[in-house]
Amino acid sequence: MNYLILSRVSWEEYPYKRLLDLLPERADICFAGGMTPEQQACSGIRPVALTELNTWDGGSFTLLVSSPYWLPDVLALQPAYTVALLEPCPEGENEIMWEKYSALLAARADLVGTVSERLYLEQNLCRPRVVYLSGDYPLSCGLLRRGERLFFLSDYEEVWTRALTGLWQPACSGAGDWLVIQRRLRADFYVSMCGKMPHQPTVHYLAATYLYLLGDEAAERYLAKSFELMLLHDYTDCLHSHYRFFSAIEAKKGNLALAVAQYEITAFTEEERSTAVQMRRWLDSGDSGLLQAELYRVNEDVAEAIRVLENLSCPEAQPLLLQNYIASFQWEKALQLQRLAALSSSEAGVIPLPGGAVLQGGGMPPASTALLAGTEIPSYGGVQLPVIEGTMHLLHGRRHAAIRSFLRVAGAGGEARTLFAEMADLEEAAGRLKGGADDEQG
Amino acid sequence: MSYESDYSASIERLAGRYRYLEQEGLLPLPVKDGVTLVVLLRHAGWAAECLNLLHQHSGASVTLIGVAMNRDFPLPPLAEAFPGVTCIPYESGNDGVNEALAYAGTSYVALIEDTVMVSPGWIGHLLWPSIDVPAVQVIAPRSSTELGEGREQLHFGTDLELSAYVSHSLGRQQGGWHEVEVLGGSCLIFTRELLLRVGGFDPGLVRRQLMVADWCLRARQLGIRLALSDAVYVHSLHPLEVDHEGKQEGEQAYLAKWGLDASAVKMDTDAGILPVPADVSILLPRPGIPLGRSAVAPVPLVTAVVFSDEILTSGQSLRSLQRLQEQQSYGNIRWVWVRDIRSEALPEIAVREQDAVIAVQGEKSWLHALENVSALYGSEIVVYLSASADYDTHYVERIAGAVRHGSADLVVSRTGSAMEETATDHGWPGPTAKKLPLERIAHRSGIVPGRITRGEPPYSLLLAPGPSLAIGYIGGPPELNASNMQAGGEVCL
Repeated sequence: MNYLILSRVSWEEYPYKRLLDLLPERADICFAGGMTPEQQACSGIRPVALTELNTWDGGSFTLLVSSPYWLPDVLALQPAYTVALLEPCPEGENEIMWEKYSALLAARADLVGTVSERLYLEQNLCRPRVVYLSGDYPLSCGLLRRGERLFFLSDYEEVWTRALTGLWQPACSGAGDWLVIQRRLRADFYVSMCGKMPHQPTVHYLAATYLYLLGDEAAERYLAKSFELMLLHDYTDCLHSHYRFFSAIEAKKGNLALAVAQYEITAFTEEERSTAVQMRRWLDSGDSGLLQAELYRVNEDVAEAIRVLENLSCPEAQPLLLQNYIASFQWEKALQLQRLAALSSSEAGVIPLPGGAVLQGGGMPPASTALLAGTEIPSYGGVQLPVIEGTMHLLHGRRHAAIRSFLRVAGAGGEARTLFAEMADLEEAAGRLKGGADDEQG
Repeated sequence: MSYESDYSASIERLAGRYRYLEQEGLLPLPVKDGVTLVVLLRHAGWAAECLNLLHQHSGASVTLIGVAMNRDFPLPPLAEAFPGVTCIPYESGNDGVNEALAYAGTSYVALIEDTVMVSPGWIGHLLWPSIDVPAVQVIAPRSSTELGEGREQLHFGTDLELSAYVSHSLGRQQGGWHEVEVLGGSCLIFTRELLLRVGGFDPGLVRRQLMVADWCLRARQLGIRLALSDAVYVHSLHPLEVDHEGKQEGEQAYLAKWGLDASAVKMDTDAGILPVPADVSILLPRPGIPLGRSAVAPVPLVTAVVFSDEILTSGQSLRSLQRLQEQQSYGNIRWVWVRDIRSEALPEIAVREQDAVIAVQGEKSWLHALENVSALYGSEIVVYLSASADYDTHYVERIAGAVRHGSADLVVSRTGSAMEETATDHGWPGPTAKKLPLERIAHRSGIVPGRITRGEPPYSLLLAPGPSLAIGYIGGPPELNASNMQAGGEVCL
């Protein structure tokens, strides 16, 4: 396999050099930016000028991308596979923009890796293929020979090589097991930490989270302990953060009535109460799939919600699916779903929504779907469809189409101005990234 | 210059010269006929590198034997890549390790998992302790799989880092070692002389770590000392997929074998904690395990005592016996039929050589024979079976396992079948009853189980157990087991 590295920093500062040593089936490995002859000889990696990328055939390459501002290039290169190496927002970067485009990069990627456990957990709640590139397991779990050198792999390094191999050999037995293995290692670590730190609510909460992701019923016990410790420490503001989590655990166990009752206890805002009413309606009508998906969504487990909804054929599932795609930044899928719905809008019972969105007959719009005040533009969880459309145009290099989409929300209280400012910021950030790489080459 | 400082200077000079020769790889192993390395092959991705490093860093005088430890291990490509290695394929029911050990013809033998990665100088330093002190005949390096103080969990990025660490350690520790009470890691060196005295590794303990520890304890019973090298470290890899298969079974078997009370000792083999008897020398010698192909995973001999309260003809008896024999899956049963022939002429029932038919006349003699049958036929476990009762295929296996791995002298099965939920429907006398149905009983050898008397249907014979016996129960609903926990002299299995 050929690899192309799109880095945020120069080769000297590139933090994933060891992971590059462990890449499976290494063939041609390129670094977008400058490298000295010594660095090339030492690493076996060759530099690629940024100008070359414009004519690069990405079809035979796997991209390793560690800055979200490479996203337009990733889309243009059309690589065989994309691996997003997510990092917390570096100093000096606009945090909102960094987080947004990191999420979009992750959604576009075939595999996500990160050294940040916060990002690892967040991404686990959004999509199925996420590798944690750090760990606390002191033993060697794998072996890799490269020429004369024998590498001993730590647990996450072994997971990294398996996850990458799984991209092009998805059919081989146990290809997806690495995900469960890594979650189990994290769960075991936090469960053992609970023994050492029995009064630490966060450690118990993390143990509960990993056990929940594994579908292990012990999650409830650790969450209960965490909730109890929070209350004992006078952190009474934990109904949303802790108590609501019980409803996701019960939903996974199939105890939907209990899950709804638990969610109701934590529903305070008008939107939450309206969601609770809808949930009870689904409970009474036996729409368990919709109910389960909604329970996962309100617990931020979008990945699980999407998994359930993609398997439902009822019309009510579509707006919920759209909403979850948007929440997890799978915006291309969201637009595709919207287009499919628009195509079938001529059929009976389809309710067209302003701004291009549609809902099929009988499908109630999700509670978090609302028309933006003073406009007819639908907003899903605070994100408007034209903004999504415009952002995707921008990332695909269709600048004018992006401007047109952004102008469609121009009436919404100066929204367009903010979007144009973000557009300029993104272009500047991408320019800065490439400028740095160009300087290296110079 | 004083004599002492002269002496010290010459020692230092000699040590320096020795070290130079060692670093240059000019020193042969301190044994004439070399060492046989028996490598346990489980991990296709690691085995070749393990063999590579063993070849590279063990010198010319080693003989390598690879033993495939599971059916799926791809032996042919490995055999092709390492033509000098003798390969033993996996064979169900045959313990390949004991077979390989039987082939070892050198004065030292090493048993190594294919997860072990060695570095230069590893083997020579492991041989010296037994030359320093002849009573030391078992030596292990430090590793992440070793028990107790020998357990070191270190991280190395590459083989270069490992070699640098080991080289530093060899220089710093100056060949040091110390005695330990047990070893259980993935690399062990011992003398062939000791191997022939102790015998093979006990496959009944299921887990390799327990087999090694058990073997070391058996060696200590012969007065042999065990050494842990301070100087040598080998790097063990750990598969991401944790294998818990047979862990509990192996641990129970180990505790039972060494008479250790599970409730009184701490055992966590994953963390390198394994209890050992306070003084192995005062314990009776544990049975040896033969080396070679015959060392098929042995299951202990069970004597099945069959009885019938009805007077059966020879033909009926034979059919009943055959039915029971065909029914039971357990692989090592001696069948003993205790018949009351009343006034009949001595019947002829053809049985296998190891089986027996005891014919007695009159009920008193019959009951007496049933009570004392274990004194006549030595075996580890005695199980009573009624010719008219129904048992499932694994009944003997289950109840014999409970006797073998538990601490009770006598075990009662509440059910004849794993499918039966409770025996109360069949007139089960209850957990605190002083009379137990004979057809549901098994006991350790060497004891008289108690008095056998006539009972009421459905149980034709009842046993009043001896007052000093610890009684355990298996099967039936859990609440009954819980109540047994509280009953004096009774244990829950």
